[in-house]
Amino acid sequence: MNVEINDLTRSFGRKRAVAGVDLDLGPGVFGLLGPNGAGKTSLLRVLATVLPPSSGRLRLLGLDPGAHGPRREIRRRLGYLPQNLGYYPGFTVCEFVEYIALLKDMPPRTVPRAVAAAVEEVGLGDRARSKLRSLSGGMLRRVGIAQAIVNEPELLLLDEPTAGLDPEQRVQFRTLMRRLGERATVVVSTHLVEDVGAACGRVGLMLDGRVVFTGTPDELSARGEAGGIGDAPLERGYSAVLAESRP
Amino acid sequence: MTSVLRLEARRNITPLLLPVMALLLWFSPYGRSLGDLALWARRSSALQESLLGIAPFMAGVAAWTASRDGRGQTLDLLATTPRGSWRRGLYGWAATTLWGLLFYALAAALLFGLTAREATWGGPSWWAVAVGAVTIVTFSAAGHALGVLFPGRFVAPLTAVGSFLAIVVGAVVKTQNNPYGLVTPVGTSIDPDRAMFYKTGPAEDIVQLLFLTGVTAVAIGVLALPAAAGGRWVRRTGTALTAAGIATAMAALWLAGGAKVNVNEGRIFIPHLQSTPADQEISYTPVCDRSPIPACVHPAYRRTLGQVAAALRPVTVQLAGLPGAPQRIDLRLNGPSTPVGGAPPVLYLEPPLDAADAGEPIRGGDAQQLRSFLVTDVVTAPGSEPTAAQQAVMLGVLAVAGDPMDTAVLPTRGEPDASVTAAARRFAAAPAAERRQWLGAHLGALRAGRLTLKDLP
Amino acid sequence: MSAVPPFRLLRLHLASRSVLPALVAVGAFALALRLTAHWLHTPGAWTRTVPLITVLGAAAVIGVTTWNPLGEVEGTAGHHLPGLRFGTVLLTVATAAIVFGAAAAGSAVPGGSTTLLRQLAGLTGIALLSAALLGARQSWTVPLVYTLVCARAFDLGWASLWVWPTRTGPDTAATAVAAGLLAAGLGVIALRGPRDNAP
Repeated sequence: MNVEINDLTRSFGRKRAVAGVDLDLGPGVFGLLGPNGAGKTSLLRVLATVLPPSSGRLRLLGLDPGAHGPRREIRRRLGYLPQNLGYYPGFTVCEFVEYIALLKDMPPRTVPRAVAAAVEEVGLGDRARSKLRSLSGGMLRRVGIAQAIVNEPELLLLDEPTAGLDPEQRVQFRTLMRRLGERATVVVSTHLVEDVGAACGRVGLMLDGRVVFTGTPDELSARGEAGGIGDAPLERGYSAVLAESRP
Repeated sequence: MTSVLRLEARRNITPLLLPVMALLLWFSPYGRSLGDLALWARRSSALQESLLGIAPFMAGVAAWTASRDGRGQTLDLLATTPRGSWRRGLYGWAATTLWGLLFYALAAALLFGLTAREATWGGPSWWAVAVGAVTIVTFSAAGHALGVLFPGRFVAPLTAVGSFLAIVVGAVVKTQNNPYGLVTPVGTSIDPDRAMFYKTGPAEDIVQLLFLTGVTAVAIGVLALPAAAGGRWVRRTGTALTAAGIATAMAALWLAGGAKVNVNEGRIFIPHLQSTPADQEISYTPVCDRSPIPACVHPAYRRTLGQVAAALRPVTVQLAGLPGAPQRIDLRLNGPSTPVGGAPPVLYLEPPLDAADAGEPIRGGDAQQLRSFLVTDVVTAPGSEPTAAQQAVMLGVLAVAGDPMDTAVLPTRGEPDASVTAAARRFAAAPAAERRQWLGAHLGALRAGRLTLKDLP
Repeated sequence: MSAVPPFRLLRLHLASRSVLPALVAVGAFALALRLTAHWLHTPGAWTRTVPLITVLGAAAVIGVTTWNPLGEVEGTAGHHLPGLRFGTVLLTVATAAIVFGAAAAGSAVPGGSTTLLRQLAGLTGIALLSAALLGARQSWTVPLVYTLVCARAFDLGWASLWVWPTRTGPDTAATAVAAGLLAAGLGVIALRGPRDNAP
């Protein structure tokens, strides 16, 4: 298991953003769905070691992120795309990805090739030398994906990765996720259920800081057959589970 | 991680500001010194003064670079990388500092290269260069720390302007003879001209280096203290750096606090760094011309020798060879008041440093002043009020030399009697041979004050 | 939906520009002027530079307050912006003038409050024009360069109109230049705002 979570909580003051989550994730693509404020981003930030958990047990890649040494090792093998990706406007596409690659302690000799491969993978090969300030929002998102995958991570955490991508790019991205999920654990937080349906082997649904459903997309769709709001089976399943889980 | 450093250096904004800093150099004492006489002490001092234009920019740029992650909202992303924030931030700081040091090194190389071609004595003050380099590192470090701690929109301008204010306030403190001002790298207390005649030593530079190093260590060390900065060893390093920096800076302040400063005379004495407050002369071989009474100057002023000799010649040709006349005139600061009757009789005069430093010709008022000092020292005894006869002879000799009959040049209290100027005109109107014969016979008595106006030809 | 009261709109605009922290910084510079004032009776190039630097600090801060954190969103929101920008800058300049006037009162600032306020007006104008040209967060660079040149001018005794901050006391030409700079800066910022830069 690359991700082992047991009764994990994360609070911000009095607000419990993550309220007792249990998850075990191995290689594959895990989709994380939920309404706004459900705690998806907070959970992802805890998994990314940006925030420590307030309580509970967490092991990533077999290591305890609470200790400094193991945390550094986790970060070397981790890829993360935050919901709001910051960037340095004066850097070029390659420079930004290279910068992150070097900070991840990748061997300098391997960095140029890895950067080129990552930039090509997201379809920005012809814009590799463009300054980031000259890119559109969708292109910047793809730069974000490139920096997340440059070190071929064993644990890849993506928060709203397809925001701003056009349909063709979203299809390419799903293919990329499936490929990465063959050997790594990929956790994708998204509002787009069709992305989850197309790329994810398992899906979790969060509400008010709790995971109220885990299973396959087909199992989620099945929950909607009894009644639910939506145009597609997965949407109906999503809304049906939420309706059942709300007090 | 030279790759990260190369990346940071390539994308640093300091190079964009280098042309502006070069322009400021031109306006600063650095630029002005290039038009003046090539004196190592003065140009080394000018290089250090140029920090006034460089240091605030380095601080502002460092603050801007350090606050980049807060502005660009990359904190979350970078928090997922193995290197803690302290080590990560050092690359940006190092890149900014290296650009600043490169600029400073080029400026120093240009200045010293031009000076080496023109200067006739001495060498560069490497202590001044060291102080300048460390100043750049310090202001860059302080800006970096402020940028990390307060990554808002105001940090860069407040850091730059705050640095500017701190430097100038420090210079003001120094000019008030307050010893704590000695830690400021700008506004040296030592007179660069005096530094050619008397040993000044690196005491002030040492105090500044200590203080600046201490501030640098605190600025960098403080950033390593929070838990997010890195692991245990990072925090230990931060604690050690902060403690050492505070101790070093306090030591510098303690050394400075015990100093005696006299900015007007361009002298300082720091007891624990200097063995004696008394002036230690720098020995040198003066360069002299071949006038009837040779004029000699410090070898650094070799280029002014011809003008000095030309200024004095109208008087020296009248006095050369007379009993009791000096055999040599030595221009130096605070020369001993040797009576002309000593052996060998050498007359010491103050050199016209302002004109010489500015590379201006020594003529007009400066030349007249030199001649009047020479005549005064030959005709009168030191410390005595000139008699009427002495005044008349002085005016007469100067008139023969071509100077206007101006009683203002006389070192007297109050306006001399009209009979003095009348006697001076008679003396000047006498044939040259008669004047010379009279001076040869009466110079000693005249100097001793035993003659009256009636004794003049 | 009722219209938002203009006072509230102005208050929100001021908050978006971090005007309150800016005024705190201005106050700190005025305090620095007051604390160093007892040195200013000794004539010299350095002592004349200190008040100018404190004014530079205020001007630099005012220039940076013009930065728009909301980007294009604000520009498309409506027609109030020129008035809001003008009002914000005028308010900060006026407050700075009052604060510096109070700090200089009864002190030995060379040239008195007249000189100080003229320097504030002119340097703020330069900062505003720099914001329009380079961007709000880079607007402090040009006034800093100019002040460094003026500091050198004090040392060399220059009094040309090109270095008008070095002129003290009532001086019509210098006042006209400073007022012109402030008016130009206000106008450009009100109408066009600062140059838009990425974060």
